[in-house]
Amino acid sequence: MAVSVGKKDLSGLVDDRFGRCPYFMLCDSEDVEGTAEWKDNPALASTGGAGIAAGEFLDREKVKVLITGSLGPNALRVVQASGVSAFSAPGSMTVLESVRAWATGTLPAITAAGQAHAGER
Amino acid sequence: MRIGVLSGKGGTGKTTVAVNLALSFAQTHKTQYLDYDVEEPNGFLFLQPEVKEQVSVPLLYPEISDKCTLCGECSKACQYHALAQVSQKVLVFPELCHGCGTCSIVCRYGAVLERERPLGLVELGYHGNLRCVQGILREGEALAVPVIQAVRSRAEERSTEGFEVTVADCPPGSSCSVIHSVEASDLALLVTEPTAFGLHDLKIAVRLVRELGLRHGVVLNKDDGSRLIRDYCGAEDIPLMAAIPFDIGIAKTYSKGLPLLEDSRWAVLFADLRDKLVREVPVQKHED
Ligand code: SF4
Ligand code: SF4
Repeated sequence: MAVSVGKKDLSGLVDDRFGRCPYFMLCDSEDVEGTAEWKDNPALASTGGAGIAAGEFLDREKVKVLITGSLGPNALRVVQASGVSAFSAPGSMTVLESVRAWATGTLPAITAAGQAHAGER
Repeated sequence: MRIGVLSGKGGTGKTTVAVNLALSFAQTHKTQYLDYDVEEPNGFLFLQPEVKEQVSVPLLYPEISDKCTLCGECSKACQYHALAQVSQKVLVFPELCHGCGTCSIVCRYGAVLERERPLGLVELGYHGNLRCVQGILREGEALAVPVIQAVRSRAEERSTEGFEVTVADCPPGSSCSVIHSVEASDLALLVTEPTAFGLHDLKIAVRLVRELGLRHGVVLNKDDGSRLIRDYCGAEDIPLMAAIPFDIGIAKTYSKGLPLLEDSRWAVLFADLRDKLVREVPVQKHED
């Protein structure tokens, strides 16, 4: 699974910008602490379509579950097409808390596009 | 002669100046008015030309056929992220596509089909003997440049009607849309207002035309006699080509949708500006 994050730290906060977050935390949901690794968001450098590029990246990483803030319409299309289930966590949650909340089924699924962060840095 | 009319932002009276200057030129020269402000063209509202020609501006975008092997090359090559290759398909995002054609070149399986969608329109008509051309970007579309280029090629490159004077009403701001519409002007007229914002935007416009190496002059709109813009022009050695007094009559004429030339004071003012331009910039007959 993947979480959009601002810092390479499990106690860091969830970054609510999917396409423009600095890193993704990738892990196996069975053992978050043991398998967590951080990857740079390759979409950060792009001038447009960051959500699309980030969605492609998750597909390449074979991610099945995504925790982020919200998804713009284009990002949502890519994420859905690649069969990823997306969940929304508030930006006040730490990464570890968000994964635990997901495991207990308390995070809402993202089924509709929120505000796109187009062009934001 | 090609005159580009510019302003740092909208609402400074740029279109008023461009339309009235074009009307003034039309009295003495074979003239065309071109509205390059394709996101918000409003010169036709004042000129009310009889539209004779309407041409759609298409944009190509890809459609992925079932020959696709999911190799991912097209999505890697698209710098606008208009394509995404995920699991079992390639997704197309037409509104991000710039129609560059790269994807169909890189696909080795002939799976990229080119489709067209209407991006905008070019309209051409006449107000008396003044030829009027405008570009209109369709609502919801973001790519202004292809529509600007379509106006340019219809009115300026393929024209065989030998216009002596072209007045180009350029979009506000300093984006690539402005550059595409103002470049190759003999002179750029920068329209501004005597306010701190006006001065700020004027400085941006001056930087742009200097970078493009264009001759330029300022038209001061809503002139209240203050020194602000005059001092700046003096210090920067930029000629003040015309000053349009602040006058309630302008707002009235403007809100009625009438060109200012209906009023003899403005007719004189724009005739002066026209004659000054004719003295400064030689008018060439375009044979072809
Ligand atoms: S390059 Fe052609 S074959 Fe490869 S993914 Fe794109 S459309 Fe499919
Ligand atoms: S035509 Fe160009 S911009 Fe459009 S999808 Fe293909 S590569 Fe991308």
